[in-house]
Amino acid sequence: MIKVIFIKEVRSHISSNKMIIAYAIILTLFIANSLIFIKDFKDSRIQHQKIVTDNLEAIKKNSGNLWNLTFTDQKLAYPPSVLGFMSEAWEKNLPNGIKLNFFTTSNPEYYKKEDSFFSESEALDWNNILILFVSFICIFFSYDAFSGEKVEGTLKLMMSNSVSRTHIILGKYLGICFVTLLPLLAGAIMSSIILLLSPVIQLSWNHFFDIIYYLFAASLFISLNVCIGMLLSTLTSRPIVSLSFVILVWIVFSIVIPGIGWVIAKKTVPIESLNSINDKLSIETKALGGSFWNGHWKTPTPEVLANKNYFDKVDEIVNKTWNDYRNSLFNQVNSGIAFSKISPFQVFRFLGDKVADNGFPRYNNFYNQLKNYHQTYRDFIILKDKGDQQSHHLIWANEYCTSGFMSKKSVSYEEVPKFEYKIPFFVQTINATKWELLILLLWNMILFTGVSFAFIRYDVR
Amino acid sequence: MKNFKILLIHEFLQQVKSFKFTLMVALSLIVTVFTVYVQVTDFKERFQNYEAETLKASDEAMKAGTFAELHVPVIIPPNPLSIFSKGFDEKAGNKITISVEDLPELEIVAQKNNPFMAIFVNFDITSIIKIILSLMAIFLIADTIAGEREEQTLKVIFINRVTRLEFFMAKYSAALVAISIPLFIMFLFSSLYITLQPFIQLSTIFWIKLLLIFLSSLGFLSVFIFIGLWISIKTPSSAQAMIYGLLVWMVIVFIYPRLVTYTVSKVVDVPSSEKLKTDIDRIYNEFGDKLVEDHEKNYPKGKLYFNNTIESSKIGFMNKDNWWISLPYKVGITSKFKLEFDAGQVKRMIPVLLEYQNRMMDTYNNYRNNQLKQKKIASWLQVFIPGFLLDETAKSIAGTSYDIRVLSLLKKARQNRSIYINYIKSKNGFGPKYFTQIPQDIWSDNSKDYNSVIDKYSWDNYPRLNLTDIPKFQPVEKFKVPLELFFMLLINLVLLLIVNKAFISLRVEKN
Repeated sequence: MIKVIFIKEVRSHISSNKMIIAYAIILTLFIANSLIFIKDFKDSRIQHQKIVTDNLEAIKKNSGNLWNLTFTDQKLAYPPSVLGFMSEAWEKNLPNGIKLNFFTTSNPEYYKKEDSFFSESEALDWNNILILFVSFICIFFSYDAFSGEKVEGTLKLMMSNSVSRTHIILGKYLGICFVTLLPLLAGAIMSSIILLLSPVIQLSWNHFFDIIYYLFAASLFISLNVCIGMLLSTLTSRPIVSLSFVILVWIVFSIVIPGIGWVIAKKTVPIESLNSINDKLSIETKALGGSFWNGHWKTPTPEVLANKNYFDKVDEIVNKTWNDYRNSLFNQVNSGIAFSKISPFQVFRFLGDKVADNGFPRYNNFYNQLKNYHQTYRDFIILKDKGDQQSHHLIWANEYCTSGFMSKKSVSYEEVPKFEYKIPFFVQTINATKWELLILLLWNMILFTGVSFAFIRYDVR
Repeated sequence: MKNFKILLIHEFLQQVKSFKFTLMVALSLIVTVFTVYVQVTDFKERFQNYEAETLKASDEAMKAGTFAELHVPVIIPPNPLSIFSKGFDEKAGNKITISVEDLPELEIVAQKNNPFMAIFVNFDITSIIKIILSLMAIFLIADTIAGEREEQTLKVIFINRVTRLEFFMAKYSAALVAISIPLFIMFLFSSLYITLQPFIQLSTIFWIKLLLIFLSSLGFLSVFIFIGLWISIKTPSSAQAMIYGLLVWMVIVFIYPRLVTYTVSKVVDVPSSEKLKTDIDRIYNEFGDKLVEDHEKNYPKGKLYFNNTIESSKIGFMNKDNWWISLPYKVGITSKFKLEFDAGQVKRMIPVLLEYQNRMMDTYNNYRNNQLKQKKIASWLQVFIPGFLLDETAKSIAGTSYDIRVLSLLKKARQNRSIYINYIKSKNGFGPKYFTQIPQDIWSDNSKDYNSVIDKYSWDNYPRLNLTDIPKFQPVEKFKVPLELFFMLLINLVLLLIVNKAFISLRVEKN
């Protein structure tokens, strides 16, 4: 019987004009997204390659003298994500790099072109197509699943046959999910073909697994929306009332809660202004007292050690302050994200961002990898300096003074550790998104149970 | 039109008594309360930063000891109307430095610090109108005629002596009045909340502009009511009308505008910021060549002197012997020879510097004009989209549009810079006073001759310039009725004719 109801449900939707319009819009959006992404990705990759080349040249140029290398600033940025077509994740508005030398790392920096007038225009990526449009379509197909049939009297007729209510729910649920999943799959396949045909995008197996995983999560998202529509349809007796509630839920989930996330983030983790941090740093470093004069010393006299001691302390205070500042930036955003996850729409959005490894999650990965790289880079310089018998092995953040106390020998360019952004493996992606996936599953289970209970008690007359 | 009033009241009461009306009003009010709270909190933060920055800036301007050191930082206050329409108020930058050395360009200081917060939705009042009230308008009206036809009440109405025009106008007006209730409450609540904030000072012009934004919003909602009515006339059932209404809303509000801006931003190429930087650097280095050439030509080879530079200019270049050649900036006790050389260099090179700076400013202007290509194309592609028209109208009225907040402001800054340059000229500031206050009659090559004044021109005690008559920065006070408002009225008029015509030829019987 489920099969019969399923086929009836699919037929009733698939032949309607609204379905044709919806399919046409969804497919157009998927195709437009792929074509635009290819062009965008090509530009971003060229730009990233230039940053990498410039940085390597700077290392090469300064590797002739360890002292120079120690004070060389490296400009490091992560490459554009190949899966950016799934989720752009506000990438173009976010920083993508950092400046680093032996002593310190900078605050997040933008190493990207800002050429577009519409820097804040939202991307039409898979995430947005699903969250803004497909979710809406799901709602359209499910809001009158029961209340519509009740008004038309067909539900009563159906129940007069020997059909169990569970079969009706399952038949309808599977039917609506099927008609809404079809354009998603068609769009995803067309997108993938366009991307595969492009010489610019090189998709690996890892990427394909990511895409399949994303589509699985998208199916859960679609199912969740269908459940919302069906639940509200069983809780109301007229389609217009269920439609009103469904739209209310859609607005709250997709617009209101993400907005409140911004306030929660601001209120729970306040960020100190740059002016105030600079003032505080200036007071703290002044409080350290003297020993900050410069001299062209040759032997490690007490004066030199005092100077080093002073700069080491300043370095420690500055690094700690800016590290705390950067952590507070991440914490602020994370607190907003945590709140936004009240909305299953946002849970899916953040899952998409992580799977595509783009935007904020990518910066987080980049920053963590960079911290490890910084340590390796420091260890390398210290090790090379120790290998020089003529060096006093004193390195401190005073370029002029350190000159006489650390190695000035050349190091092999090939030996210098170079930063390379490591794309997360599929297993790591699953691990990073397991909670989001679990939340989506839970939402589905709760809502489907809700639909079942509500329909069992539903007055079909 | 004697039945119009009765019909209007009847329709209006039917609308406001409906469940969907109550639900949508409640929703729009919740979102408004929250949005206003967010925006005012944000505004407060920006305002506090602005005040701190202004305090610092006034100190900076008055402490100048030479005309080279005279920097007048202009901090742009946050605009209270940005709570209604954010536009470019925050992202365009809020500081312009007027000085001989700096180009009058906007820079971002004292703003919000966390760049990653861009991942969250941050609404203004116009966005709520664009998304929620437009949806409400479609929702209220889409099933109204289709529903009456379904229930056969339409036939009954026309049996009486009610003209179609009367009925149509009553439906439209009732929906417009009904939708203006949440709109009015939104504006009332927002303005009351803003008025209660002690740090926001509101002028009469604020209220006039607010009223204009309100009226534009009403014009915007009227478009959606027409669209809803048209769909209601053309579809056989109320359920279908509702679905098509919502589909059309989705396309007009979300899909089409995003598709246009996204595609235009990716497809229409504009010169990159890197090219701009390269062009500016090229012109700057050309000036450097001139400065170095002047130095080579006029400075006697190997001439030594005693020097006491208190502050150095940031405009400097390396010559072929690796000497740093720069314009003088703030000079203390120094050889007569050096002072005379510097005075000569200022006289020869400042006009050249100003000429090269004009070229740099023109390059910036060209870059911005080229960038506007994207905006123009996207604007023409959206000229019939009500959300776009409302956005542009509200930004123009609020003074947060790109034209006003960026282009006009920078134009004004250039004019103001010319006023400051003339002021410096009038004070003989492009002579020795450009870099020193040591009177010419005591210039000497013998450091001993300076013994009596050495403290006076030291780093700690250097006298300040008398700047009591310095001209004030003239802010932009530009307001013109935006062209988009006319387009909005035109669309309303066209829709009125189309929908009315469709209604006149409507079959009142159920299909």
